[in-house]
Amino acid sequence: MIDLQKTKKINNFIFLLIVLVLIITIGLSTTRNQPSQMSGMVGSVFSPVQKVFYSIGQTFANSFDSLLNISRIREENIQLQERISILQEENIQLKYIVNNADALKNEYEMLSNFQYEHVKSQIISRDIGNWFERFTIDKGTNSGIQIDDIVIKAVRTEDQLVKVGLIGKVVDVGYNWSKVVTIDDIGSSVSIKVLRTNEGGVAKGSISGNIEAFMFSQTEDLRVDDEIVTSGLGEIYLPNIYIGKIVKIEKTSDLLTEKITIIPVVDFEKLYEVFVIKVDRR
Amino acid sequence: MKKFLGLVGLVIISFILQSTILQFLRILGVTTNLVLVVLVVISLQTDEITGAGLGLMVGFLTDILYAQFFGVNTLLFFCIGYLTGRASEDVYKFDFFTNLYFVLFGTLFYHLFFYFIHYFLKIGSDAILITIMPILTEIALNLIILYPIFRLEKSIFRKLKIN
Repeated sequence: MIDLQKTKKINNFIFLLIVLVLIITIGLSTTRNQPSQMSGMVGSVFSPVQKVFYSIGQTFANSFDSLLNISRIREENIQLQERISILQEENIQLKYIVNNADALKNEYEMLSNFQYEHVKSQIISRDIGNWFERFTIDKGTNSGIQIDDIVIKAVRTEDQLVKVGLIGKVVDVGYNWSKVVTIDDIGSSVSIKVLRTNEGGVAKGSISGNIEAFMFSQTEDLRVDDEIVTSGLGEIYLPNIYIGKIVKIEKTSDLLTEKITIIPVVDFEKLYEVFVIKVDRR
Repeated sequence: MKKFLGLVGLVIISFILQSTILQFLRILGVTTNLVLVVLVVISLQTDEITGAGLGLMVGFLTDILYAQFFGVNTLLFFCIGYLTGRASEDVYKFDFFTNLYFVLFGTLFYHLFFYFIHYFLKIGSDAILITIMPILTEIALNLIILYPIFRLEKSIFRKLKIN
């Protein structure tokens, strides 16, 4: 009986000791980076397994979506066939315009001269909790990815334009995996500007899943549906990467500046393949 | 030792499922916390040392693979494993509802302390009211998956000759 009580006391002492050590570790890790060798080893072991399971999940999710949407798809199919014939006629007219418009040719050249090197990669797992929006991808230092590289995805906007949509940035890299923090994560912040007016601000993720931004200066010229892009300030994110549109404008509590809510163009819950822009920061 | 390795395998499988397939099964943007449910059920059926060891391992994996700062998940899962294992001596642990209450309090404990730690670290210091809906949804989802997990673990425990 005495031995049992003694064991319990020792257990309690060890428990409190470990708790204390972990609290100190939390404090230290906020000022220093994680032991990357350790995370590199663990990541290398887990990433191939997680890649297989994530693909299985994706396949099931897609099949489930297809089953749910089968009647809608049929209707869409009929509508699309009608649209194809209309578009074919329009296409002939557009070809004529394209062949004659120098401005459009210049724009095409500018896009084809996209100067940044990029890597296509697959998401292999996501953060197990509901507090953060983080995931790992299947490429790492073996593909030349570095910390702070930008993660993007090609997205089609409501105007049917294909744009480069911002997902987030790489925060940790192993040999064959990288950890990505998305822009709607509560620990994430991005320097932004309103595309129409060039006014700047800082956008942050929130626990509610929205992206909220505070503008640098007082302005009356913000509108719902204004497009938001990266401003390039802070030297992490490249300028003019599309983030989303304004859905809500509020005054801050001091009534001096505006707080806006942005709906991101990327659907973070349905991500599978992403591109990593390898930014040369030398 | 063989039994403990079996339990380690069980927790690692649940961790892999949680970080991959279960991420596609979100309700109101929230996914169930299979790892936490499995940890609580195992800790309740074993003891504080097993619970603490498994909690330490799964928290370590979460922190090393996903977290920005090391230690928060390790601390919380460690505490949940240890305290549940410790309390298992004083409760009738074979009853489903006992497991249900522990999962309920375990989920609440995890989120409240997670919020406070991050609040003091000044990361995402949004009003706690905003987080209540996702927490309640996760509690509901955790309680829903508890029954199949509870049944499954009973048969696994029989095979591993635990209890």
